Amino acid sequence: MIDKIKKALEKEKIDYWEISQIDVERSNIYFELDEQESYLSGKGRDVFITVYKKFGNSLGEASVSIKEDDDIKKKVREAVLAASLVKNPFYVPFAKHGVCPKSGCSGILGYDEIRKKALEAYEEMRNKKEKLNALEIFTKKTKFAIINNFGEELVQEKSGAYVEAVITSKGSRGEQEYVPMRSEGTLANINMKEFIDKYSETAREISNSTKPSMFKGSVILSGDAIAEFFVPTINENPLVIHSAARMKYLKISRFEAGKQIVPEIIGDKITIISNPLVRDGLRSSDFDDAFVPAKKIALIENGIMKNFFASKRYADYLKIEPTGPLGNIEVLPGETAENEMRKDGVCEIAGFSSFAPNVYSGDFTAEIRLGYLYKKGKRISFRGGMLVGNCIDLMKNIKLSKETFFKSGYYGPKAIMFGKAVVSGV
Amino acid sequence: MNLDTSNKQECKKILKELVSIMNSKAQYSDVLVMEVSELSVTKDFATADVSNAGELGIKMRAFDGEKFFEKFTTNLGYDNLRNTARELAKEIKTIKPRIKIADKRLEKHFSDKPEINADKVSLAKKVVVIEKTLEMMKKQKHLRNARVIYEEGKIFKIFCSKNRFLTQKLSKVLALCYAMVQSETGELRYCFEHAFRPGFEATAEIAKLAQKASEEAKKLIRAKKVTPGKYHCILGPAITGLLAHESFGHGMESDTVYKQRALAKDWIGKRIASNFVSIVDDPSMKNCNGSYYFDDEGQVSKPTYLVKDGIVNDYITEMLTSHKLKARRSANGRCESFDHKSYARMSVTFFAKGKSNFKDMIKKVKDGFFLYGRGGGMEDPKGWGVQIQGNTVQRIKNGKLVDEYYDDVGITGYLPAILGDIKEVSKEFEITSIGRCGKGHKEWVPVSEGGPYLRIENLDLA
Repeated sequence: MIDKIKKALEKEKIDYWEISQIDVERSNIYFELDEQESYLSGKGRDVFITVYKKFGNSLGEASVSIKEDDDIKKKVREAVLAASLVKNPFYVPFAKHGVCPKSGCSGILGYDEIRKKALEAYEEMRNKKEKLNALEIFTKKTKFAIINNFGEELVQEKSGAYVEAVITSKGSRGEQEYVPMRSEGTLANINMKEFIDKYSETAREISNSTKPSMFKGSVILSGDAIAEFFVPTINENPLVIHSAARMKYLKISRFEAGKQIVPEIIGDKITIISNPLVRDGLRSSDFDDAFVPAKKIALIENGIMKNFFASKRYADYLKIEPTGPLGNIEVLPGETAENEMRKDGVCEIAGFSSFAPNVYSGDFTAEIRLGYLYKKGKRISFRGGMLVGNCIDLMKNIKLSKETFFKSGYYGPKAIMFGKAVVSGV
Repeated sequence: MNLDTSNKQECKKILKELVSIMNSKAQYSDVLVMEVSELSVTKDFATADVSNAGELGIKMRAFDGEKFFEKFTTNLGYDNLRNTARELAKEIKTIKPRIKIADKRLEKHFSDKPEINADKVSLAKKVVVIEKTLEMMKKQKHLRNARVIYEEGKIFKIFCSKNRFLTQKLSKVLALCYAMVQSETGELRYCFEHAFRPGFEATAEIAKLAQKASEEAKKLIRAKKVTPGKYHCILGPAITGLLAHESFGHGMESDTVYKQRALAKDWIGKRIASNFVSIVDDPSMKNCNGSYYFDDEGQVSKPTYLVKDGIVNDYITEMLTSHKLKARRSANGRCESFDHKSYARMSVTFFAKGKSNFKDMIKKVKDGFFLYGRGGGMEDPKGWGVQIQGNTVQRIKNGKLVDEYYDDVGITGYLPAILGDIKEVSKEFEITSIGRCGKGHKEWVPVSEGGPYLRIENLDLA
């Protein structure tokens, strides 16, 4: 099919074109209670073209997907027509790519292997008081190939894994649950025993938790909460969004290159790095769809806006170098030991129900699934209430732990402490 | 030879053959064909984009009496489809007697009927509508940026089992205007207005949407942060819908109930709200983003009362857990796409209309807030904790809406307490059709939600 598309594109008067082909293979297993409910597997292919037409200082572009039985000539003509209807400031759509790095691909698991992984989790749970009410394990392999009108061709293969569990526990607050989710580049990065041990304890603590009152003061984020703060499941953290060249071009970014991200910093100065080169990393990739090789770049360095991550299009608009794809988010550690942060009068949040900040303003209100209050040398667990704040403004006064960990595309300190934050009570 | 979805008779013949191959070993099997095309035209103050994406694939499932084996493919060649069906049949080692799937005979074909078929409108005209609307928004000096979006979706599905053959054609057009301002405190704030219809008629009032979005955005320039606490509130339809959907609806999904992670199980037949409160999920409601004629497991759409007259009433179900729970099968077995499994999912979820008048409800609030505008939420079926965030809020003082606005306000609390504090339900009613819903953070399906205005006392805002 690709040859047919190439021929059809070459016949049209198009200044630039690109063909993308994505092949996806999945192997997913689903358990309800301790019963296997389903096993889903299969292969799929998506093909789409992007065409670009020059109009003086403008560039029209449009993307169209093509299926196996489509009339390819008709689809190409549709794309050319669509490209002639939208005009953007001119940019050169493709970079001269050179050599791209390889971030690895571990493949997917077959039925017997993935079922074995699931049964390992149930086995680990067997001697615990908590219950594994559901488990889903997904593995995926993706092959991404792009070709352009200059005859350049790039191919990368990526793998992905996702584990989601429902763990319930009975305690003084009745039966409560925790729903841990973890995405990694490979299932090998998820130790099932550790996963079950850690989150059984979390569920147990929630089932014995209290309800919070209003709290104003120092708040620590740790575990799932810090990972979700810097790499939310839905959208990016506003710190990353405001570091995008696109947002700068659209005059949405609050950041200025070379300037502090907040006017005054009285704590640790944050450094955030985009790293797409991590071997088998969840957000690793070798190049972007403009043929720009992936590279590691500091977005924010010591609290100063260093580099806007830029696709070829927005790099040209802002007259900066394209950076390639956004990758895993690395936050450099601080010098404070995690346990030094945990002292009387401090609140710690270990898990949110969902962290979904407003990407433009940076504001958020996030319900707390598990938190702790440190009082008179004791740690009192709570659930409920909301952490309220602004992702960017909170960077004024932070402390970062020296200990690090990784989870779901986040690589950085195990804990961050906001000097002043608010938790609403219930 | 490839499967031709435009040839109904040929499709029926080959899909029945695939079912027959799987049924040689399976207790039950079915096939779902999904063909989706989505045109999107987007323009903001600086850039414009057009894309036309589409996918066509097939999912086959074979059931052994306990579990499904499912396979998907985008290769619709007859040989590949037959081989895939044979592979699934091979997965069935023995038939377990535990669950017998009912498969009542039915053949039906459904289709949306747009007033103006979007296929008959040229792409150029669609682009012009978007450009004109954006030009109008550009004249609003207070806007930092704006974005106008035209989205057109066509979904064609075929469901086939031994005794069923169903097809449906769904058409969706969304006109959406975002307006963005810089607040006095320097943050960027935005709001949006939208119209949703099955055809190009969705764009008929796009100029009004743009004007309203611009006016609403202006209010956000001076918007403040609310002081956390308990307040007497009126919730607008968009927020009411989130409460029905996120806070309550997810806990009524049969697979969630079967996994013993829903408090609702202990509340079936019990009072949770006053007798003027009902919550409904209705995929058969016409012309909404979450509407459909049958679900992805071949069940024809009908409404389900989750709460009826204040009493927790019934679950929404998918095929397998409805059998396991011996619950009524509803048309809520939905998958994100042909390469995903079906779960019990909501469709169009809302509080039913009441008898009160919105203006009179406002008069009853001495000091409180009117919550409206955008927002999002997260489910907590086990704890029934409420999290709805990102709402725009207007102050009510002495029974009147005053010119004082708050942004990114969150609602929290314990669901039965909130439902129990509903004092009035309005007769004014509106469904919003812009949302997608995840099961947790994945498995996204189009949904609608909304309903009347609610007056609630003691609502926790942050």
